[in-house]
Amino acid sequence: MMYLSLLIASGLLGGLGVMALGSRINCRHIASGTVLISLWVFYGLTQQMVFSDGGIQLMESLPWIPYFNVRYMLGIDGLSWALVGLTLLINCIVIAGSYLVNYTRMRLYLALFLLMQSMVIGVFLAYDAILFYMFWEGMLIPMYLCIGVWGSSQRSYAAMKFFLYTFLGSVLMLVGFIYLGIQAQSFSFLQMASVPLSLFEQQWLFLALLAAFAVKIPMFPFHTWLPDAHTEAPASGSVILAALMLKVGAYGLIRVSMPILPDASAYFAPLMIGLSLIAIVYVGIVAFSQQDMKRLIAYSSVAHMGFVTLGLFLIYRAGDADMASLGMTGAVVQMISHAFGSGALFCAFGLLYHQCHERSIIKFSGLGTKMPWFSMFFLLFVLSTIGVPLTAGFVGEYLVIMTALQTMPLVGLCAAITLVLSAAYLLTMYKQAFFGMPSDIVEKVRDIHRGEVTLLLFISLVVLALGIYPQGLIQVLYPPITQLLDAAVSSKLLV
Amino acid sequence: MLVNEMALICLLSPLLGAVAARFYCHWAYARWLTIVTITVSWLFACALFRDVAFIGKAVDLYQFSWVDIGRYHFEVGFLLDSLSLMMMVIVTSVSLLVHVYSLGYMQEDANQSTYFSYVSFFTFAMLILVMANNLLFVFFGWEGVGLASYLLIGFWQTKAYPARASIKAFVVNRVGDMGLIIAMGLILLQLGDLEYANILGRGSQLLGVVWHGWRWIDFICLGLFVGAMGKSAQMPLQIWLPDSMAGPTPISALIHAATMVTAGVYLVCRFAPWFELSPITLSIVLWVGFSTMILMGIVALVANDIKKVIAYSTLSQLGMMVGICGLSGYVFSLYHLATHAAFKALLFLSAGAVIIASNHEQDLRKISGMANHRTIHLSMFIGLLSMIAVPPLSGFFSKDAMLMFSAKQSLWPYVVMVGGAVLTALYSTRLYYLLFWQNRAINKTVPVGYSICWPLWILSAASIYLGYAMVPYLEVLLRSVDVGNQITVLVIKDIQDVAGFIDHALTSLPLTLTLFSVTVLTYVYWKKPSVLDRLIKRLAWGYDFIASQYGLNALFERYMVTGYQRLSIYCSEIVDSGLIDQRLVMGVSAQVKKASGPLARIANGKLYHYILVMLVALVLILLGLV
Amino acid sequence: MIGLMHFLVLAGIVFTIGLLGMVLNRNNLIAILMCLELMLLAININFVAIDRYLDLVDGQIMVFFILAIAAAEAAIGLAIFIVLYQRYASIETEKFAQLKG
Repeated sequence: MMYLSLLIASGLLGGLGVMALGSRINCRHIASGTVLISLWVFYGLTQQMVFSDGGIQLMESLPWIPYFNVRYMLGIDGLSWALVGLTLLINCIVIAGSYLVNYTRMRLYLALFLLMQSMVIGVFLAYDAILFYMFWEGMLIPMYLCIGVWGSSQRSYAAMKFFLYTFLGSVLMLVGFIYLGIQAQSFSFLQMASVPLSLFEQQWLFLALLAAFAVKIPMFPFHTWLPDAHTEAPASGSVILAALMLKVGAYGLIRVSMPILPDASAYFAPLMIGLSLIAIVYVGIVAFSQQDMKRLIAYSSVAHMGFVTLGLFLIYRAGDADMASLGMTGAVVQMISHAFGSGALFCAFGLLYHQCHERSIIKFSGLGTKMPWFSMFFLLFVLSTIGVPLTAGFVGEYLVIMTALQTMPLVGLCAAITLVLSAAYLLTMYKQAFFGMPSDIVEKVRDIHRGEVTLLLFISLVVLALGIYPQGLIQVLYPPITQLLDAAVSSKLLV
Repeated sequence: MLVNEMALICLLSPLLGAVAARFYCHWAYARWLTIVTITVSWLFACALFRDVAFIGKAVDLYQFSWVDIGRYHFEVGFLLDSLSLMMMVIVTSVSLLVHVYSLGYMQEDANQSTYFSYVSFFTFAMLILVMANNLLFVFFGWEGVGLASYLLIGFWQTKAYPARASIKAFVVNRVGDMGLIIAMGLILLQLGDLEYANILGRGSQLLGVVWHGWRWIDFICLGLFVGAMGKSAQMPLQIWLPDSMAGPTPISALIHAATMVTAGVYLVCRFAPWFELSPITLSIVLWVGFSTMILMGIVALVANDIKKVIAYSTLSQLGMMVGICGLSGYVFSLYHLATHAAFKALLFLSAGAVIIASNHEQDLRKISGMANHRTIHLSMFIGLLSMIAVPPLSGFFSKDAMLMFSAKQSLWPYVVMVGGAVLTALYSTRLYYLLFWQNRAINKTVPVGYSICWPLWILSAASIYLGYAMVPYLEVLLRSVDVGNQITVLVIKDIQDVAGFIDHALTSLPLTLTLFSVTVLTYVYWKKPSVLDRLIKRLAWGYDFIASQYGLNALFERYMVTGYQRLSIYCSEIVDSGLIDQRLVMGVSAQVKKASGPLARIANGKLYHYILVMLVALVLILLGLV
Repeated sequence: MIGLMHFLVLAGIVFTIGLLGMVLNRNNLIAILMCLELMLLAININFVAIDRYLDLVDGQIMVFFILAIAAAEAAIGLAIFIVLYQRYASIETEKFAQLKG
């Protein structure tokens, strides 16, 4: 069984199905059916996997463009498995959310999200650089349309900025891939990982790849597209953007940059650690004065993704392998928990936005009395984002801070400031919006109904489960991480 | 029954109550449900106490592995010894009483199920904090109680002041939590583990580790103490506690007097063997504790809000406990912690009753007619006497033990301690006179119900009796926090001879001074109140300064918060959107656009231009070939 | 005797006429289409002449393709012109700039 191809194909076919049949059957049913089928395929795939083995499994490899030795090559390991699972869960939430709201052009809307699902899963599964690049760029189109068609007032500016910014980065990545492909006589990541490269070559390649990854993550000076994109995107677009699109950047660093360019990664580690710290502290400060709810959450996303890059590049300063895997595991867990933390915040806020079409924090007041259930869920997500123990947000942050304190205590000290910063900006926002007497806008809203409660409850349970028993996730992540770590720290320079 | 199951039931029962009350129950059942679950928890805590506390060694109960990476094992598990069991009993008892009390206190509130759910959740988190067998799991509880405190301070959501106070409490607490996290990282680096059983005995390993001339253990202990300062509201992180009085009064009794704020003392005592290895930190602990005790005691003398007076007295008492920890008298700190939990809960709950009876008036200058309320009068009286340390009430035993201990250590701590005791006497007397003597007009007061009175009676009994009852327990308690301090053993011996102890205290300096100052103040209030008025007028300039906690509150609210806001706006507008976004990102795009102008003129869409260009190029290429 | 060179020169002249017609005639779409046909014709002449000279048939096959495509092109082009004329009452190129960025 070609589970991996099936998984990718299911989203694509579902998207086509929605477009073709959506006029006759309720397109939401088709979309949810597609996601269920994908989940079923994913379940079958899970049965086939051996999680204690950290290597690539269920490899599918077919010649695609033989002349350049480009192959259609898919594979999965524990890391990819977790991220694919994340993608499916998030898409479940988005598709389920589509039952709760009405958009114009519903068919196109759903088809785009199914297409997006395929593309993101493709990125997580591809082991061939060109295939990876194809999925990578394929992701942009649905997101661009999503912001451009269903966005709010400034949508075309935000969509254009998003598209051009990320595209510029990816083109540089393509150049890097072509150079690597010529050197390795193959576009397979596995072959690229074993090709020797001089430090100078590695450095330039690293920067070229980083251009794509850093924009997507986004790292500190490349982050300004994100607040714009988030503010203008519809709720579901924001959820996907925060939960999935930011993750592919970090995934690229783990899967591509670090194993293929280990020496350059080590060389640039101080820079990356520095940028991550700036993201954590500086962006945390910036977030405090944001007036727009979605902008604030977007900035908190940047700060939290700072922990991912921090954890990843601390491995080059770690004293031993266990310490390094602590950092890397922390980074990956942070990726996943951030998906649920920020994604949940965007999702919940989307439900509110649909009632009142207002994003400015100052306009809200007293939501707590008008919407008690909603405010309870929202508080849980805020707490997860702040990193309160027993919620998902704590685990990754904690592990990364622990690694930082052990490897570079001063870095750890700075990273730990986030405890205070994030509490300050998120709770101030929460206070303004949820405490006090209801404002004019808030007077008109109703509390969330049963369907919405179910949706948020589902996310909350995931958030709590990840926080209470992260070991369940970590035992899946640990074997592949040790392998990737091995590749990431073994030098390629000829001695 | 097995110890493990008992511990689990004790811990999880309040959680069950909290969840069920929040989600499934109508409020009328919710409150009873939480009371039932808390009672279960209390019963099991007592049973565990009876079974485990006296066996002389700690029981370690592994539950499950939270995160397991290579050689790092982060686990969830319980450690039951005489220290944690004592805390468990204190927490569940006070919590149970507060639950019952809240039945009456909160009966007019619409969100009762939420309230009871939060209180139960607090109990759960606090139990985690005291039961945990490793620092990480402690941190779960540590943040959990902070969260519960945040939720409960801001319980009356529609008012502005509680909302601000709740954020302040959470954020300031987080500063402390940062210290704890940092300590955890440093411990992990050196010892690779966070479990008490594996690390506490290995403190001497840390002695050799030096970083740029600083000893590692000093950093670790300092980090732990910063955590403790946050929770136990030691200066300068004390600013959140007075504001936390914005929450419902039973909460102030439970969280901000009896249990949560003592978590810092608990942590310091837990890590007693390490603090012993770090004399620098110990002296910092001593200084911070004593300065909090004295300075906050003085603030208590000028505050006019009944709850704030008690809050400042809590700060002062906490400072006393922390200071004694700094002298290595951990057992006596814990002793005072226990008795303090009883009499301070009593004081707060009585204050709550006062507030109810006077129709939600909190200003001491306006409350009147309280002397006629017999229950309130009596319970407040007992609580204050216990706090002043009049023999043979609870507070007397613990405070005199601390005094005796400090006297045997050295002179100046003893002097400061006596000063603290006198201050306690002064503000207690002032509170009493302002509350019951000043306005004796018989106003109409609101009657208070039985659910309010019963906890008061029980706590009154505890405030009288607990100190004596705990005397035999001190030896057991010492086993958990034994640092080989000989003076501690001597003092415990002295206390065990109760009659001799009381005799000795009656003739000692502190009690004499205390009673003297009470008498003087009583005389002044009774006969010559004008003296006080003149004094206050003379010292008016200092009044505001002291009332604002020596400017610390203003420093925080005016300068730090505003400054941070300004910094944030600067970063956001000038740096982020101005420099990075407009100059760099959009600047590049603007340059590209500018450059594209002339180029765009070439591609004008006119076919014949294109052909002409092609032709010319073709001719040039052909010429080139030729 | 008329040799290969004559045919090639003829083809060159025809092609140049077509090309210059395109460059110089800026407005009339029909004239542009005619010029296009002329250029294709010139290429056809080349193909046939060289085939004849080298005694091959490949080029002649190609000519049929080109003729077919040219016919189709003319048909489609004229159809488009008719539609345009109906809409704008003119077939001058300058008029059609709606898609210009």
